[in-house]
Amino acid sequence: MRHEVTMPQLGMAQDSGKVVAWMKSIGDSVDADDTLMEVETDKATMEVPAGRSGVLAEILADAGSEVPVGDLIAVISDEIGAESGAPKPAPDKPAPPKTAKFEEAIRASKEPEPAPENGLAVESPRVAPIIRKGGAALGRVLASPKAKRLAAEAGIDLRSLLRRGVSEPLLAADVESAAVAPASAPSALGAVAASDAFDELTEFLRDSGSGLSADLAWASFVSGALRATGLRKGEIAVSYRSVSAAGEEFVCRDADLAKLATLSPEGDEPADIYITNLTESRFSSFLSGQGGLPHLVVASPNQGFFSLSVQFSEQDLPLSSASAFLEELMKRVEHPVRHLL
Amino acid sequence: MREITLSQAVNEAISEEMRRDPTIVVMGEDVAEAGTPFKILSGLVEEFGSDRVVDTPISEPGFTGIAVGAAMTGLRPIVDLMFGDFLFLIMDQLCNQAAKTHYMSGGKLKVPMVVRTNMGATRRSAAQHSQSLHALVAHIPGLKVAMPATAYEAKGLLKTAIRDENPVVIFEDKLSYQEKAQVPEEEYLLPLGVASVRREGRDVTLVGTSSMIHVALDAAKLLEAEGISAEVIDPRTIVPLDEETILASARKTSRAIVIDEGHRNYGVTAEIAARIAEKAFYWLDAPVQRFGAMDVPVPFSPALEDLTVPTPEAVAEGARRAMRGELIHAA
Repeated sequence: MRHEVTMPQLGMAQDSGKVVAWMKSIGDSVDADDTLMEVETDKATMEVPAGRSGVLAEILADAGSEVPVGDLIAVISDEIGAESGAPKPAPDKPAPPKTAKFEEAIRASKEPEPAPENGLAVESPRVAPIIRKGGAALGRVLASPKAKRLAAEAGIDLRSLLRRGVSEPLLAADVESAAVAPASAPSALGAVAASDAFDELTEFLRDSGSGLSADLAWASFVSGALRATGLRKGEIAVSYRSVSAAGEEFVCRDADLAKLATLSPEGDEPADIYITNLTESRFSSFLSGQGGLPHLVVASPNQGFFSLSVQFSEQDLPLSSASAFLEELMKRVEHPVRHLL
Repeated sequence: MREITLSQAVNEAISEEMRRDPTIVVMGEDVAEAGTPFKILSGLVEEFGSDRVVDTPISEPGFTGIAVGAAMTGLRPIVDLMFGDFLFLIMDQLCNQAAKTHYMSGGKLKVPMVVRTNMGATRRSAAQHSQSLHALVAHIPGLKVAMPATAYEAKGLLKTAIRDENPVVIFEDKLSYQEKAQVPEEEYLLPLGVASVRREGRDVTLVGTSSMIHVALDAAKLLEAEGISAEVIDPRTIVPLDEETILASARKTSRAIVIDEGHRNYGVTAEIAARIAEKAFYWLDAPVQRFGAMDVPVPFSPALEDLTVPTPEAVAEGARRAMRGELIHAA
């Protein structure tokens, strides 16, 4: 705790007092009854007790200076170094530089800076280093008071919301949605599956002239694997995109319950699972920082194999469930006929 | 429940109290024979006689001063100030004498008087008969200030004010005198300093004084159609102010708009908004907004006069902007 010592009023008409001498030095232990200083008014010179026990942490008025009544002249703290965080001068070292700086600051804060000739009001550069904290110069995040409070309570850095693209001013709702979003990077689980059966299916679909594609087969298989593991109940929405020349992109619901021939890709996000298909490209992996979870990435780095990787939040989906889902998916990919029948 | 006009409610409050307590007197211009220009006090002089319902000369400082003295010496006067604009004439009697006598006499004297007056624009009465000057007296320690919004509040607050041992100024809205509201037959009192939550809501708090409660309620209806849920609070008295109810609501909804018919500058909206900002700051998701009368003399031109007062549309738009986080650009 920091206790401020101010110039006392020792007489009724007294408006300032002169510090004659300090009886204690910075770093000294003081008792409440100890004489801290001698003060001279126009009537008398008096010894002034500390009024409070502790350690004399700061002296802000030099001996000999005239100080208005009520102005801060010293600080007594409960412990050495408990204050400002700045290292205190050792008791045996003189404190004048610090004292001088404070005096200057006090004077500067009292005397209004004359307006510059161009009429623009600017902050006094002499006061600025004391009033301003270093970080403020880097710019502020514009957020409502409530948003700031919620962020502080949840331990969320408001700047991280800006980095995610949330626009200012940040409101309570922005912080609340950030609080429920996974705080850490998603987990990922990968597997390799034989692709020959699925490739045959793809060829068959292409040659059948039905206009059907492997894209719908993926959506159907993933939807089915999700349902089979019991991770989702009721309607299952799959969001699918293919990194290819065609750039197929769609959302479809309950893809596993319809025959491929009757499947119609439609619907809106959010989906229960997101698929990114790289098999038509030369890319082998993809990690989305923005997209929803769980997220399945399919690639075909080697002839005859698929690499299947599911990204998920362990808060929402335990590893055991993610692995069960991948198992189910591999069964379907390696034996597509079973699933389709 | 029966419905009566605000004017009838005031008449009932005064008659009932005068029957109960023979020290209550009414004084002012045209209060007896004419029953005031708004016909509020009709029938009083017939029942209580011209000793207790006194027509005074056209001298507001004179009769208000008489009332202050009468209150100190045992009567309970109800002063009728024909227009709120005439408050400027009785500032010394009200603010220097009535408000301070109890304090300066060390509690030996009390001034149990009521000043009934009115407020409100859009009655085409021009700049000297259209002002809402309640902020002037609310600023003075020692005066209580009530602002009834409907007949129900008018009766309940006036009866309480008459029984109060201190000076109370009541502002009635001129345009509301013929507005009806449900008022119980049986006697009731409304305490000073207790707000009324007129409508519960989730997204934004609208605090409206006097007739501005109707602006707030209409704005709430507009917002409801858009899925924004507004809570509407009538403080009923601005001194004392039911801060707790207002702050609790602002903390709940995290947005607040204050509406009052006095001028916006240095007014009641500023006071209430400042208290919300001071005491509910970390619960606010948007700046507190204020709607008041435009800071101009009230114009005589109807087209212009209507532009100077808060409207439900403007309040609703303020609420929408607060919801959308747009007020960052308000400065």
